[in-house]
Amino acid sequence: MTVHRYERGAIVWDMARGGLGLLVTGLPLVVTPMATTMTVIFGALATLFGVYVVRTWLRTAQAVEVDADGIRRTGPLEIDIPWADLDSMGLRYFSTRRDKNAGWMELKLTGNGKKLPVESSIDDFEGLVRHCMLVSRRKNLELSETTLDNLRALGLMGPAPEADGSDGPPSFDSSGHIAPKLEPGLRQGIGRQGIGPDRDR
Amino acid sequence: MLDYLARRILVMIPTLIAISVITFIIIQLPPGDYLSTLIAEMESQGEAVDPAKIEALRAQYGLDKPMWEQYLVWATGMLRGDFGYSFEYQLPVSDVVGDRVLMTIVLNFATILFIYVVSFPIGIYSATHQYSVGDYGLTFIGFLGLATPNFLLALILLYFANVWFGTSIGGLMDPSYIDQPWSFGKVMSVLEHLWVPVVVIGTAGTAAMIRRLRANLLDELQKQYVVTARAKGLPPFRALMKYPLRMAMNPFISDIGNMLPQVVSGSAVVSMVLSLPTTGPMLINALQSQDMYLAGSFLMFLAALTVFGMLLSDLALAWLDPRIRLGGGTAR
Repeated sequence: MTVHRYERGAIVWDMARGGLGLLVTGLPLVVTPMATTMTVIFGALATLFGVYVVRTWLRTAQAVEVDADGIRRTGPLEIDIPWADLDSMGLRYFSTRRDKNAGWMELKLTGNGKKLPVESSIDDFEGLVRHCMLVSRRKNLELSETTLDNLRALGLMGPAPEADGSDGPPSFDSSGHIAPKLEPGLRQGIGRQGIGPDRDR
Repeated sequence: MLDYLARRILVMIPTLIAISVITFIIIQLPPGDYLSTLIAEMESQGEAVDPAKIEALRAQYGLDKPMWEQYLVWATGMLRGDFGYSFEYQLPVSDVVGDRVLMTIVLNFATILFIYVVSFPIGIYSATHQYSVGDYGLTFIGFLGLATPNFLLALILLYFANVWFGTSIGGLMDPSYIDQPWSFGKVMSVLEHLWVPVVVIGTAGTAAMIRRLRANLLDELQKQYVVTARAKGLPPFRALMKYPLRMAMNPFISDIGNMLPQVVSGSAVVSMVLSLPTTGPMLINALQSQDMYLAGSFLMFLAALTVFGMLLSDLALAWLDPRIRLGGGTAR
């Protein structure tokens, strides 16, 4: 079993961001009498930053555990998704910059009627994503082209067919979905239990 | 997505503050102030100017205070819904602006809707029927729209709207509805007059958008995954809609932010020609007469619209295509 926790530095930065946002939007509400429209706008923004701060604070007590049976978030607001119930996996990249630099990724797993988001500021994010990718491959889950591109960017998959032309076109299943291609090293990781690379055991 | 929203809004707040500071500095940059312009006007008409009265007015309007203090009064006033005082109209800015902001929003929203509704199907058709008669024809019309000056198109459409449909010349409603309370008839009159400025302002944007969607979709349609999908028997419509169109739509989404200020500033000239009761003509007058709070409020409104448009387009892009770009790093 592997246990992943959010890095302290990232949590401190997120708290600082959220605190600053809460201060900038919440303080005028308290200090200055405002027009109704402005009160609604500032109130909504202050609520957003409040939720962000609480969510960040909860992360200090949360951990993500991965083992042969499934993936779960422990601590406050627990979520448990057994691999057998995994319905979808998405890997998204966000950046607030126009050049798309200095962004972060979010792994989103759904199953068992629940959603489990995990951000790249968690330790050994690549290992966690690799694990989930192998499981999704074993379960023949559809991965969106966005997810496939982001997996390639993490170095977890071979290059896109367009990049060198030697990898051939992607596989399409009967419904027109693109099936992911795994790099050879990762194919070996799908063992009898079909969980992941040896170092994750 | 909560992370993205919070971080993106956090970027937006200092941007708006910086814009408000720059706006205020810009409207203060020309030598003199509103009273200087007023004195010059009065002297040119041979009227006597009492210096004591001018000083009293300067103190009354707060023009004798340092710039930073004037800015703080204006900026904090906006939070309270007080956008300052229009020297020229001798009324609070909010009273002067009245329905103009609403009309501007209606006009620009309708224009953007027009651009999207027209350019989307034409762009798809042009890309999927490359080098066909339809493609050439629509491309020609697009270029014609791009090349025709807005004011000229406005005059031509105004003439034909009057001759063919009996629509009154100029304005966004029949003269009998001006300064009247809102009613069904007034709304219908606005809709009757709206199509002329919408077509005029939207034509250039439509042509540009068609070209961009066509080019992007053609790039996607030539990729191997589309060829493979079609070779394996995926229906053409599905092979188009499933991935290529989604990828080609990025400029549509990212353009929302750029389009809003372009449409608003582009509509200023058309509004002058068509005598539209929007913010454009009033902004130009306010800038000419150095009516600083009125001009500043308009500029701030445009800036807020731009920043909000950028936020919307970034959110839509993050939702639609959250892909890493090669060369971009992942923060840990």
